[in-house]
Amino acid sequence: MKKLETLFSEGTHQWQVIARDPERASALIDTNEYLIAHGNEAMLTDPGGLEIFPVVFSALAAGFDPRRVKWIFASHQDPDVISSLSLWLEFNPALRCYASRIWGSFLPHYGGDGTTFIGLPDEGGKLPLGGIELDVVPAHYLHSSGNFHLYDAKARILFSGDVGAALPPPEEDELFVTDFDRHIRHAEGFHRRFMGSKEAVLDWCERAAVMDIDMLCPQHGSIYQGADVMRFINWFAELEVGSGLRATRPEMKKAA
Amino acid sequence: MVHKNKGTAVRAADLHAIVRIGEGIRGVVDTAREVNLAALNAMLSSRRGGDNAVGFRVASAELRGISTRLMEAMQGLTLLVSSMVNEVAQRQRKQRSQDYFRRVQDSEDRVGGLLSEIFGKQEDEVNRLDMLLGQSRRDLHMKASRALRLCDQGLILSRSALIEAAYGGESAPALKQVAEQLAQSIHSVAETLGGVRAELEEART
Repeated sequence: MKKLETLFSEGTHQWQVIARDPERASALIDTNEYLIAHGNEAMLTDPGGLEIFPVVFSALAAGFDPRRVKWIFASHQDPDVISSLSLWLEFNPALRCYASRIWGSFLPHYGGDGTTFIGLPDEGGKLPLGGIELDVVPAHYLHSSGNFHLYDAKARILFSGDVGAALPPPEEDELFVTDFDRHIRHAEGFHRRFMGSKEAVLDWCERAAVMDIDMLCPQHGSIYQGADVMRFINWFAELEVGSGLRATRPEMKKAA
Repeated sequence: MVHKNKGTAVRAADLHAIVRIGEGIRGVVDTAREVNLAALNAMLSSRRGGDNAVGFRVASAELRGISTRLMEAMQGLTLLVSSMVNEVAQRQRKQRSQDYFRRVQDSEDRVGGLLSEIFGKQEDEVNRLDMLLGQSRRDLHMKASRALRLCDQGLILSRSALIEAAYGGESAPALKQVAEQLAQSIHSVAETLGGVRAELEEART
């Protein structure tokens, strides 16, 4: 069963994470759902796939009134990110979903209609939440071609979607990274394969390096905090990505 | 957790049954087209038989009319089947979503009222779709029965054509061959439609 855990709390401003489901089917990748609340409103980031909706909803309802969730933020269009949308809409038809504008006609395949989606422009922008604003950070091609992260300057937390994601074995699957060098081994293969563009990686690293970040919160795996955030940014900037290309073209493999 | 339950299997069976009915209807259309061509061929052959084959010509023309009406009837059945596929798919989606909400554990009873409201709406919607499906099945059954009555007429006419073929003089063997082909095709249509009707009756029970 997933659990709702608090990452940041200051007055009515809160970040909580719904994470770790030891009972999930082994065929399903584990995901982290983040709940950002301010005042009477709350936003859920990457609410997950259809199959995990019952556990996400149960964990949320155990510690928070799900009726306060007014917004969904989808970092990109993948099924593990947003295929549960139709069920969230069944619970609250007034829910609105932020996602890259390029997915405007793709996401309704999961549910919703023309009024459900608020298309985000490529350059990002600001999202209102109960009286404060969150920054939408472009992260295109990391890995999706229309991809955004979400930065909260008040909590100094960056929700980083698939960037920073890791697939550690169960015995090392902690909520927070405690040993960067050990943890990053479980992130390496994923980043090499799923991130397709070095230019996109460096663009993101430049943006992230100037942000004041206490926690870097990926959609899969452990959360980076403190000095591990900059360690991750530096590691990512150095990483060779696009391994799928090299796998199919031996001459590129040799050159690398 | 992936739950493969009895409900999923039953819902899949619904869709498979409709697919089988659709295939049956397509089979009828193909055979009715064959009957139509065979009847046209019979009418042309009967000309060579002259006055002796007038009876055969009339029976063949009637059979051609029946095959045309059968094809028209199958168009109506095809439309009904396609709307049933849509209704079954909608019901499956609704029942799937019911399954997901039933798996929610509202330990703090924060949203119990809202969830029961959702369950109520989902149940109403499933019942509405069940009623629609039931009505579509009844319509389909009625139309299949009407088409079977057309086949009965066709079988009688094909027997008449066989009798009339015997009076075809020199053309009698050729006319007999055509008449037998017609009878065989009409019999095959009746068999397929009988299968479609039985499938519908099974789905009703």
